[in-house]
Amino acid sequence: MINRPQIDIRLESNLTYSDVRLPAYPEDELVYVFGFDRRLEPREDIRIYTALLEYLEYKTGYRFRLHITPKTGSLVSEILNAEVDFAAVGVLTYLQVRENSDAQMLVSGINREGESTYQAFIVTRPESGLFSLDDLKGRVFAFGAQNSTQGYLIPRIMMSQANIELSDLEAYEFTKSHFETSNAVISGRADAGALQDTLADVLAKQGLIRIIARSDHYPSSGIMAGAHVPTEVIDTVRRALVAFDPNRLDGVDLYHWERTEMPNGFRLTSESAYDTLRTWAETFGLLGQ
Amino acid sequence: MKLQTKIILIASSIVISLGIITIGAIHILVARIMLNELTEHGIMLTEISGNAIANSLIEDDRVAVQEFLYYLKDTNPNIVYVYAVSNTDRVIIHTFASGFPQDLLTANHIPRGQLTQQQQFNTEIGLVQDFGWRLTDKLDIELHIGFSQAGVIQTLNELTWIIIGLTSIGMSAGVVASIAFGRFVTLPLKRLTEGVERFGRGNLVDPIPVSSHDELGDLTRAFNSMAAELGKTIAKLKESQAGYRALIEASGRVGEAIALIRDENIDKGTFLFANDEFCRLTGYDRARLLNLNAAEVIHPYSVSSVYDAWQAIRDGRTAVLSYEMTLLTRNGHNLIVETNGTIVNYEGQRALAWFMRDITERKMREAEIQRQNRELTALNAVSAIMNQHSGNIEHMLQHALEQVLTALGVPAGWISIAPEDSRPYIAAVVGLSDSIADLETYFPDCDCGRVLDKTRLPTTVKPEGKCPSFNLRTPEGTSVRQHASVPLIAGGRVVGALSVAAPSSSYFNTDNFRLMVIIGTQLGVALENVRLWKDLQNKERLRAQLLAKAIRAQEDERRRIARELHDELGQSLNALIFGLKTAEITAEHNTADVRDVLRRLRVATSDAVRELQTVIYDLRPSLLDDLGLIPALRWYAESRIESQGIRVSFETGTDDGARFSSDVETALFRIAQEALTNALKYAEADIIQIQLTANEKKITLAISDNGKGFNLPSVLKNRGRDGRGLGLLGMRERAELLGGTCQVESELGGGTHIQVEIPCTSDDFIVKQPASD
Repeated sequence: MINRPQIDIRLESNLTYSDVRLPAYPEDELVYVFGFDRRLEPREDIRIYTALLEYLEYKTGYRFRLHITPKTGSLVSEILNAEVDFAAVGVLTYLQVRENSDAQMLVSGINREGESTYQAFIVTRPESGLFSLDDLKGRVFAFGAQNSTQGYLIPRIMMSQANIELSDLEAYEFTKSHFETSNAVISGRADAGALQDTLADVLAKQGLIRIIARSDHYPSSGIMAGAHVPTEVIDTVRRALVAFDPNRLDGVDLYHWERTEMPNGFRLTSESAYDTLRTWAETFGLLGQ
Repeated sequence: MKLQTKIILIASSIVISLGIITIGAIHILVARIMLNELTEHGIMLTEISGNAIANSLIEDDRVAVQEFLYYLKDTNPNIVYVYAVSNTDRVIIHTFASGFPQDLLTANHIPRGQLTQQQQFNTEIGLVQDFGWRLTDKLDIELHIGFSQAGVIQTLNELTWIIIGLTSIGMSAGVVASIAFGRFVTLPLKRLTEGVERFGRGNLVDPIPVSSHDELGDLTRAFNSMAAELGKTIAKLKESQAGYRALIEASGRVGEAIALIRDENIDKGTFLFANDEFCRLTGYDRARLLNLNAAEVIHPYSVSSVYDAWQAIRDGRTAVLSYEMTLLTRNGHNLIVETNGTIVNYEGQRALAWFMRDITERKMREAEIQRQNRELTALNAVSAIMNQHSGNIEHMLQHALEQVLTALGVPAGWISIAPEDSRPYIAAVVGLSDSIADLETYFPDCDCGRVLDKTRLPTTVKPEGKCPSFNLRTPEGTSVRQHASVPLIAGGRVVGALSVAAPSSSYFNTDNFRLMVIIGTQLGVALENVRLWKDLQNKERLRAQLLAKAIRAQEDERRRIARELHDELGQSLNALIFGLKTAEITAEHNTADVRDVLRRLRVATSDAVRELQTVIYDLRPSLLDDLGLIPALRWYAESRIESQGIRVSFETGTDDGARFSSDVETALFRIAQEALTNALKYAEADIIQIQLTANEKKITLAISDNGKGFNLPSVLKNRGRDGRGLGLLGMRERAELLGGTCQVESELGGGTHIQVEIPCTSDDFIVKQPASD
């Protein structure tokens, strides 16, 4: 900390009793708002994306602010309402926004294997008697957030392909994040759950869970831009993201970027890459909400 | 102050100073540690607390946040307040029961780019440290905790008083210890000091008692040993000094003056010793001299050089050579001495030995020889110049002036010449102007000119308005403050002045004046020679003109005689020849008429004889030879002047029969003849007065007319074209040949007066009776 000159203030007079708010920063009027689908603990998500935004500010010259969607809010609505300009989202969130606007996915994340796809894993406790998808019938299942691709859409695809409907389950619940899903499984509150591949691998190696099914590879999460964002800004940000190399960054310290779904950065994507998932989402009635 | 007291004071001062420094240092150190502790504690607590409630702030769980904040404040007595900024609309959640202080809204606003910030507030409840924390720069989630420093300061004050108390006890003990130590250490020293004081009073015999074997005992024994050696050395030194003094006195007897001058302490520079010769040279008795400073006997001009030499001696530089200086004696006389010196130790004092020998007489002789050489050189040069430039006076004077200035060593000078018949002018100049034409002189109508004209002695004057050096500068740009002048005398008259300029009057001394006078005299002689040479030339030229005139007059006279013989006597003789032929013819035919013819021939022959006598008289009246000057002049006036209608008054102061020597009579007759002819020919006068007086010493002839007069200088100047001028000079020449003078005075419209005086002896003046027949 920097010691600054002592200043005189009054603590027992000139008091205010209502609308106590910190004054806004004048420079915040010219920033782009960056939202994200929650993946981990809020504090950790924030630290991870703070590093990404510092990189983008360094590369583009634009200024960015993080935005956390309230528990009662919706990131899809916020993007459609132009309250959020850019967002790190799963495919389902993108498809829901795309369904109602000309928003576009700028880049998709590159996983550890160097692919811009990811998977969803069905996990259970190590000592459970569940070993395949068929064993899920009559069990309590924990999905991730309802708009989560890895936490809900892909597991639904896996179940559907295994001829398992939600009604075949004894019960199911939606958690807020993969982190909570893992807690639900590990604690026994749910017999099984759907997790993103990276977190599932980590927990499995720690012996906390056991993986019983792996999905196909689907286009991974990415960074999207709302339809209201100017094209030149979009292009600038897209170029910065494609150039983003987590292993070789100048002047920016990333915070546990390996925990994200894009540990090796981003690459360009195309709209057609999402056709399969868009079809499944429509099948499950997840679009147009 | 005694050593014991010093030790006690120094030790006590050190103890007290160290105690005070210790108190201050501990106070500062503890204060810094406590404040650092408070700061680190605040930073750590704020960061831990911020991370702990980060998720609640992110999720805008205000209840959880509020509870956490109260928990923090309640569990830490130093916390004055806690407030946090929620993610939603930057709402502030705080622990202030009566409302949030608006000053805090901006007091420690964490700027963008920072995650923490510390700020000290001066509040109503004392100093408060505010620690601000933010999870990320990309969100507005903040936590601020205010810590009071009152507790820290109170603790610090209590600790300081404890330290002061402990240190005071330590300092008191230190002071007591220093007093005891001082007494213990100084007791043997006191004994040693008493012994040393005995030595100081000259007691070198009684040793200091010594019993201990410590360092002080060793010192005492060493001192006793040193005192014994010192006693022996002093005895030897006294012997040496006695010999030294004898040596100095002996030197004085052979003319070497020696003095010793103190070279240290406050009386540095005063005399410590002087031998008899030094006293004799300076004129002071020894007692008086030993109270003087050496500067009193050094002439001010020599002080600087003497001090430099002494300093060189003190510095131990290469042996200083003997040098000359001027000594100032008691009666104010200056003595030139040759001196040297060296540093010696005399009676325990550092002194400067000053040796000197009087060389005044030798220097005076040298100076006199130099002056004489200089004068001779200049005189030789001037004499040579006189011989080389006798024909051109300006060149001669210019070269002479240059020699004079070189001999005198002055930069500027000039020579003024005042001719009798023209304006004064500068004939030579050096160092005042590039061109003589730029200079003007009024000599002798100037300050120096009047003095020289009156006294004919050299003088110095300050340049005034009429002086050529008044407005002039030397080549160095300085004004001429003084000049000296000597007269140039030619023909008994001051015809000019030799002047030299110098920056001050002190330069001109008797020797310089003497040289200037000698050269001025030479120049005067040279000027006189030139004048005489020019007069000689003029006279030679005049003689040539007179000779030419005489030849012309002789030819004119022959021509006139021939004409008169031809026109008059020739005609008469021809007529006589015709008459004789007529008589011859008549005698053959008519003898009666022959008598008449012969009678007319006799008359004609008588006329011819008279005409011949007239011619002869005009050549030289026989009266002059037969009857003398006075009858001749009277005859000439009557026959030649009055016959032209001019009345002549002739007065003589002597008898008409008085005679003078033939030369005198001839000269005066011809002078009178010339004067009268001029009066007749040019003056248009109607009255002419002739006076002739004589005594045993001189004969005076004066001729005056009332004619129109003439301009004498103009006539003399144009004598080559005007015969009257030559005639006047011929009159003067005739008079001067006889040792006399001829004065001509004339003015236009005022007539002319000519007076001739011829000195004579009794042999020249003879009074004779007129001839009886």
